[in-house]
Amino acid sequence: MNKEYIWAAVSAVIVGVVGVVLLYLGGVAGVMPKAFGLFDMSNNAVRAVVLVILLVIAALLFVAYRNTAKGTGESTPEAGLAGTPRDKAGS
Amino acid sequence: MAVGAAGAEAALTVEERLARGPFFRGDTRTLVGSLLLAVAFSANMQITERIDQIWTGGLGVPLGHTFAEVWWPTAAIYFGGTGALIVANFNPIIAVLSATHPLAWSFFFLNMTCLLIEAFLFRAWFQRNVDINIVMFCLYVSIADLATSIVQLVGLNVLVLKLSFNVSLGLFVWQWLMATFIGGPMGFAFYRAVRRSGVFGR
Repeated sequence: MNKEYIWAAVSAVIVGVVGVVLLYLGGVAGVMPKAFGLFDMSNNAVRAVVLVILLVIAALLFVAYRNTAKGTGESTPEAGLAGTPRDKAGS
Repeated sequence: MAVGAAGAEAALTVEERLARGPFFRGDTRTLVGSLLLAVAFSANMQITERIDQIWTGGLGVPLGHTFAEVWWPTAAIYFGGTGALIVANFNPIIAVLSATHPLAWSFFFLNMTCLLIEAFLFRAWFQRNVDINIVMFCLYVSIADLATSIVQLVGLNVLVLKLSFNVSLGLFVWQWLMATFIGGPMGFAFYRAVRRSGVFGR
């Protein structure tokens, strides 16, 4: 079996178990946060501002990413090759 | 020989080359690209997680699971383990700070469970194949989301929150089916658009 499949299962179990244990311990201790309350999210205007800020950050990151790009050529997907093993694709 | 190896490498698609490289990459393009998808995903979740909260009373995240699959497979395919960890952990920070959902504090490990599985599965696929079809794409999305839903159902709802297994089961089957049959095809369409555009090509 491909080792990537084994790693997928192992990582899922480790992250899942560790996460549940931490949440359980947090729940028993009664320290689980409902929210940090940094922003007053009951105000729709604040929600809208958070959304706009995230979109602006995304746009800036996109520009930054394009500036680091070496090239934007298509990754040569051949329409009929979907799901075709490389050795059978004849390339 | 060196020319032949370079030629063979050049003939690989972007996804194949990335799948054969390191699982955790630390180059600038990977970090910025992962953050780009993480922020876009978070902006998406600002809306869907609030609808989920209204819709399910905070017990489940059906729209969260569904729309996450628009962004996550692409992040896993192009940015591997680095992208998986960045995209998985960025939104929970925003979600907890802005209180989008009562279970926001659990999203850290739930997101990582799903995204790490997707990163490994897509990596395994592109190590052997040129391209991916919608069936395999949705199958991988479904496997990863099923694992996450099981962790969320058993670990979070039953063990931590002491909720009834039978009451929660229907909710989690529902959100898993939504992620598989709605989120998967949407994620495939997004991935195809990104692949055609060559925006993450190198």
